[in-house]
Amino acid sequence: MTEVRPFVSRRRSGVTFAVLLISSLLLVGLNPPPGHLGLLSLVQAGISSGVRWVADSVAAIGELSRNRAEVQELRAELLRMEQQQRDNVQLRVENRNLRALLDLPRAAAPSVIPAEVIGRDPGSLFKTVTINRGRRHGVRVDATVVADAGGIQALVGRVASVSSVTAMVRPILDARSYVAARLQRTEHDGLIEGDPAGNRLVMRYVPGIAAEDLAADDLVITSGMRSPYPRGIYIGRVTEHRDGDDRSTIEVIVQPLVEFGRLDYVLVLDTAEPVDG
Amino acid sequence: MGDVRVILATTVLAVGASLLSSTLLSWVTVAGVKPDLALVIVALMAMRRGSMPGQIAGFASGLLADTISVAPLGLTAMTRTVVGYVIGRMEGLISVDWLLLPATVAIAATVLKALSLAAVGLAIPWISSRYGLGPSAFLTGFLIEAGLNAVAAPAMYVLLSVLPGMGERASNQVQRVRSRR
Repeated sequence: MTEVRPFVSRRRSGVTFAVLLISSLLLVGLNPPPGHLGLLSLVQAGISSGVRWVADSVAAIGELSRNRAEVQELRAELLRMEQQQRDNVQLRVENRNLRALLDLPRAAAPSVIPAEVIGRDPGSLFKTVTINRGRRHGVRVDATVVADAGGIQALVGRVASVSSVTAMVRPILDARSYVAARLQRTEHDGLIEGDPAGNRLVMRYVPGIAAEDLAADDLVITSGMRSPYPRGIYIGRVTEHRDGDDRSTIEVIVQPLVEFGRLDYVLVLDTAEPVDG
Repeated sequence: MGDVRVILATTVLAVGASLLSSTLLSWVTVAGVKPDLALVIVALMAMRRGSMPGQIAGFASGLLADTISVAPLGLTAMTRTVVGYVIGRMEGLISVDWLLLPATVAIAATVLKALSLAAVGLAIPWISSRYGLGPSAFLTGFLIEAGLNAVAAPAMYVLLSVLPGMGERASNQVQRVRSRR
């Protein structure tokens, strides 16, 4: 003991380093659930709200003049929508009658939780986003997250962890994200992975025969096969394809529909049932 | 300013930088990569104040940063501990200017971070596969991050210089003046 004390005091910095290094490696090795979302996520929410308030106030000045023209357009749109609504009612009645004839169960409509993006991962290794809805609002781990992409709902990712008022979303761009996917037109299946090097996705294990029918801009959707993601959600568009690891498959490069860099609002789908494709 | 205060101040600054990176500055990216301002702060403070404050502030700020990330708890703490310790060992060995040295230290810190992560990936293989710490993440991402950190470092250095009590130890300044004579 008497020999240890002088050694420790002489090598104070080195000993501290060893203790801290072992502690952090033990924590990594024990692997507690990712994203603990404590007090700091609330600070993130505060900063994000403040920044958004200032940006919105500045933008509102310019928006006033644009609003007048928009009102006229919206009035015309409203008339069109009213007509569409009348058509929809008719279609719904028809649909219900046809389903009753075929004896099909009605697909459970997912409950949708709108949320705002309040933060992104502080580092570059991970591409997660933090949203301002959590357990208290009904968000659960593994729930599917979508966002509006030019009028259609497109896949963002899934909830990785939840606190009471915030949740962390792992986007499909993340290197550890896997989505069972389908080429909508040709109906070939594959597995989509995030590409850590860029803002694109790679669809692997697509049958080689698909290369003949494949065209640029073909849409890719979730297949729902053995996957937590519901079936029929839009993912992205085909940009190119190349040979896979083995000769029988190809890899398809997919540009996601969602612009992850500009993601402000998302919808959390809370459903265990598949949605209609 | 004592070591404890420097550690606390550096931890607060580094956590603040992490929060800013995840919110206000989240759009500052090049090919999807953003500068690691917290790492630069830890490295610069370690260079000025030594390995003890550097590694403790690195560990504490890294642990807090891990709570707002999907990184396994302890991963960022480990990389910043290594950076704080190694860069801190060079305290007082090199002359201080406001431009080249901070940029060099930032690049060195990013390289140390990449090496630490690679070492963890080799030592604990499932971490590497589960968290996507593959070679492609290191080759492209870290080169860009090193560049961004080097660009941000001189400004961070100047910022730290104007904060009271966050400068070099007086003993280092005296030593440098003597060596010049």
